[in-house]
Amino acid sequence: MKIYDKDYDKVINGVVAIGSITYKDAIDKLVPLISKTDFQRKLQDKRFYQKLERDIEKGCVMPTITLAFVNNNIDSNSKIEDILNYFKENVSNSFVLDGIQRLNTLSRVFENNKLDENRSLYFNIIFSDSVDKLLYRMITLNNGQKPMTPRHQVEMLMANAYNFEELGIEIQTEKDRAEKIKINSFSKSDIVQAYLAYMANSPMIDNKKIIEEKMDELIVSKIIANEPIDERASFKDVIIAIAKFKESSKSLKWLKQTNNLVGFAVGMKYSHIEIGKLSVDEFEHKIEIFDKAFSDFNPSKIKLGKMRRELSFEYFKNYSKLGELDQYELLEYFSDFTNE
Amino acid sequence: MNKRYEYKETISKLGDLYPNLCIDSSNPLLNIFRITSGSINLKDSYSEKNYKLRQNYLKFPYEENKRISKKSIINNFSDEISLQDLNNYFAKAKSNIKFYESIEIEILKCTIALNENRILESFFYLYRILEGISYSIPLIYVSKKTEYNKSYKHLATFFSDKNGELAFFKTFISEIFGKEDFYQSTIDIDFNCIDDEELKKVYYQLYYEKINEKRITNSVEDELIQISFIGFYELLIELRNRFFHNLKGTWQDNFESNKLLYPDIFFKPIINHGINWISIIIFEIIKVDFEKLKM
Repeated sequence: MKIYDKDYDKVINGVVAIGSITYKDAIDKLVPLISKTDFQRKLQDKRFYQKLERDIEKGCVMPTITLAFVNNNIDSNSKIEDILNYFKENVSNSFVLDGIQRLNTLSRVFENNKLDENRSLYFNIIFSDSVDKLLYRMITLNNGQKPMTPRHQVEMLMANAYNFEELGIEIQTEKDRAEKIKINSFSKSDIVQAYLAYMANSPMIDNKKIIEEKMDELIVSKIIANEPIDERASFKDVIIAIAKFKESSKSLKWLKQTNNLVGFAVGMKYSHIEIGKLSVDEFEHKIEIFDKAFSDFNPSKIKLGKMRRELSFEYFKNYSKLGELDQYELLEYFSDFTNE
Repeated sequence: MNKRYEYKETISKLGDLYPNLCIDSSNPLLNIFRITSGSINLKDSYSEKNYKLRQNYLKFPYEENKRISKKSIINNFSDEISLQDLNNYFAKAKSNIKFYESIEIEILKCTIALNENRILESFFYLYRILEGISYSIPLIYVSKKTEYNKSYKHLATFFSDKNGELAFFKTFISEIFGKEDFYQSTIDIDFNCIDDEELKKVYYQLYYEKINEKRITNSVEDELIQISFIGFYELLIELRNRFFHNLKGTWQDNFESNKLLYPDIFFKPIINHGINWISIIIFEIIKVDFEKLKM
């Protein structure tokens, strides 16, 4: 057991410390606390945590949990050693403010004998003299908060992690576009969609007939279920490829169509090496074949968008095979594929 | 179609431009679409009561229409489709009229009962719809497929299950819609619509016991059971079997009436989802109809 540092929270008038404990000790000392926390969220069904279970087995670092004590034995004058000693002696009187499901998951991995017991679980401890204040902290910080939607998370990460201009493409938000559309730029929401689809490994990630909350849930479950296809592939490949192929105005126009773009992006996950090697002219030629086959394929209007997206995905996913076909062979493939 | 219930168009001037989308066009396909999309009013001439149907059961999950306009109609289709397209679709899609007529009245009774808070009655009609469509819809679906060879393969798969019509229907749903978003999504059965805390616990437990564990994707004790799309269908059948039967000699655990003193409350957490489930499936079939028209 270790305590690394401490600080004082002036709003809830309590000491907050940061520490770690081995998985072994967590199983022995923290897991038994779970049933005590009556006002915490009820135990959830385990399905949702299966992915975390697998990740723990593989050796992920578990996100920090929060423990709490309701008393005034530790105050602003206490030293780190005092906190450590107090915690060691009184751990059975603490309770889990945030992280019940994570501890539960941990103990399931333990029961299956798959836990590396020497690894560390990191935690915060809050010492507060009132349950009300703890509850307040729980509500304002940890729980009761609506999680960020996957769309929102991708948007945030994209804005911070990618320098699109450097990679060679320009992106405009809806707001920018309302003022003045730059001909060569992509719409941000399309790129976000492409990224989400890429992560979910599925081109079908929007569906206006399914309300957003459910759709987000579905995307999350697809992302969670998704095992890496090719460790070397990254969404950056998609951006770099777009930046290259957009030199052809035909290709640019094609890629700016949301359904094409999303299908292309997810397909890249499988074929980034082959497609990365294509020249600007070769790519233009391939999408001409695609479009000819698609227009002869003549899907009914009621499914047009969906089909375009699925077939664009299918085409680039199996590029090494389908890239060889001429428009008639491709047309035949499309009708077989959609009629199965 | 029927003399007792009289539909009333809620979208003004709809009939001027798009007569086939207007409720006066006496097309059972359209009527089903308008009822399940929650975009019409109606009057019961017997009780003299008026109803405003406003739940859109074609969204997943269902949601309430705040305002009714032409958008309430077009929003149920993909962006490429215009009102004019729809007007043509409804004008031309005329097959299986008898079948759609028989379903229409059941859906109507089902939603009216729900509007009156007679939930058990509503569930009863819901189940009748389920039985009514479970055999016909797979056949209609297959008959609309253009390729004979593929149809045969489809039919062979459906019939591979020898456990009767409802199991046949289940195979059909999984085979045909398995990749659709609604199929892969989940349904939240929320018990917070039960005000009485004691009943809420008891009913949560009753439901939980009746659901195959592998169909539950998430649950919060006494409050919520999240279940897969196909698991929900199994649940509907299970609830009906356990509730409407009372044979004691069988191995199944039927519901005892003393546990179910409030059937209208018992079925409350699932009734809207049930109508939602069935409406989505029927709507998919209507869309296959349109697809075949190739416009």
